[in-house]
Amino acid sequence: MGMPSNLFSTAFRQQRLGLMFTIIMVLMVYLGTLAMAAQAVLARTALTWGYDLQSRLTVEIPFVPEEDALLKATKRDKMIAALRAMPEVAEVTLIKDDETRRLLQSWIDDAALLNALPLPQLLDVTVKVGASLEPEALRRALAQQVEEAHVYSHASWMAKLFGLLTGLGVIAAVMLVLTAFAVVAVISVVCRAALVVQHDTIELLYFMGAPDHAIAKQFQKHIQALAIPASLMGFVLAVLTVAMLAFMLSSLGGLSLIAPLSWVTVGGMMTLIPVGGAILAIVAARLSLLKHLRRLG
Amino acid sequence: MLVSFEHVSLRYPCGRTVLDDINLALMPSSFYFLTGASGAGKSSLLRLIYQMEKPSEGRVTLFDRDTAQLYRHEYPALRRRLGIVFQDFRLVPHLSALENAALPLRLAGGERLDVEQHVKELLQWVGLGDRLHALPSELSGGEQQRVSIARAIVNKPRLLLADEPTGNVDDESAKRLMHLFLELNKMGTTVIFATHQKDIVRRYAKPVLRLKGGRLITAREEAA
Repeated sequence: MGMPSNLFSTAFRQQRLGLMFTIIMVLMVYLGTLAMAAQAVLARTALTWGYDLQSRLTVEIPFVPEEDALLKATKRDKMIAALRAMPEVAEVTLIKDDETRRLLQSWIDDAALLNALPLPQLLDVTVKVGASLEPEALRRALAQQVEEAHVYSHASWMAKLFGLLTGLGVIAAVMLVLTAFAVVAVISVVCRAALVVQHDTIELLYFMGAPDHAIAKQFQKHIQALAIPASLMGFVLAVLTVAMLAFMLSSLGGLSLIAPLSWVTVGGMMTLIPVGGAILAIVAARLSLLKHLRRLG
Repeated sequence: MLVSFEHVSLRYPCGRTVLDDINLALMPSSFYFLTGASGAGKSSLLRLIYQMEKPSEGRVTLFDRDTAQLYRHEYPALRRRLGIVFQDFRLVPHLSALENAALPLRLAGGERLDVEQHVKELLQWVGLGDRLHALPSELSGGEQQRVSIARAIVNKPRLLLADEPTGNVDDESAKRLMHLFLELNKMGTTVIFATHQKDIVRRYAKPVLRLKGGRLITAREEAA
């Protein structure tokens, strides 16, 4: 049967300990969930970009003013055939002039100038999964077909972005760990304060033969009753924030920057935080209570 | 031997000696009055028995166990064989009289309905049948004392330590409480009844432990 459930009910009411704990727990779960969402998105994006880094190349056939359209087409077709003949190449896509112009539109506003601009012919090359194609080796091989062809590896500019993404992912993970530490620290302080508030009752229980674990269990129940709704509240706020950010990004077209990923996966990972937070709070409370009780008794 | 003190002294960190070279041996199923003037060391002696204090010197044995050799996990079982009536009652302020008195049984894992029934009968016996759900703040000093006594005896302890249990009750209630303690004693509970009320000590022919200036003295020494 155990102790009455209301035995320590006043412990968390005094000095607003319960309120303070709830607010901090909501904040921690909110920040933790956001960090987890950021971590999930960044890790997935970094992974995809990392794959792109290795699997995508661009081949440029420079614009030569003296060449007519037929010669240009011949060069291009030879180049495509040469590329497709390579065992490492999965796909070769010609980037049409209209598409190239569209990409340049952001920098060149003048339509007349844009149309008059001499454009190179660009080929987007996708390397087979598991295969590797060295840009310099490819350039040498293609020079036999078109001497002036250039090969651009996406790695040169994407490596910096990849580094940035990885760095942000690490920061998010560190934030998550720090949040967990903060939860443990807050719980330790709250438990200690609650035990001090109830010192007389605890002493009385000891004299009646209550073991440490029975007293800790009573306090733990109160922490549990505070931690679970607080974790849920923090989680709901974080989900609303992520949804709002996703909406804002999509309206700006920014979602295309983020690797396509399952929002069910992200949601699942985010759910780990309130569940983990509540479990962490309960376990930390129990250990902290037992430690403080040993000092008290 | 239920309780024994061998050359036990208790000194506070400030250097004041509260108990000095106490030697005693209390037999099972016995009844002792512990008397002495205010500040003679009665409460300190009781605190040594219920392990709120550690002796500065000497050895305290409880239920044949040297208390200095006890491990932390052994205290609960030992303390469940004790009943303590505190001078200041020590009732939990937000629990009713019924809940307060039921605490030891609930700690021992008793069934709720059995516990309630038993505690109700006990509270009726001490004259609080109509105050079961009253909070300590709604009870008089005497009523709080009776709840405290009910709590101390509810689990039929082997050793009952009562610190001034009749200090806050009228003469009639004091007689009823004494009767209760004597009945418990007849059932095998050893009682140590600390009091400064000489009339109570005179009224009942029971062995007396007299404390004076922190030392146990004999009747002859007291007369001198």
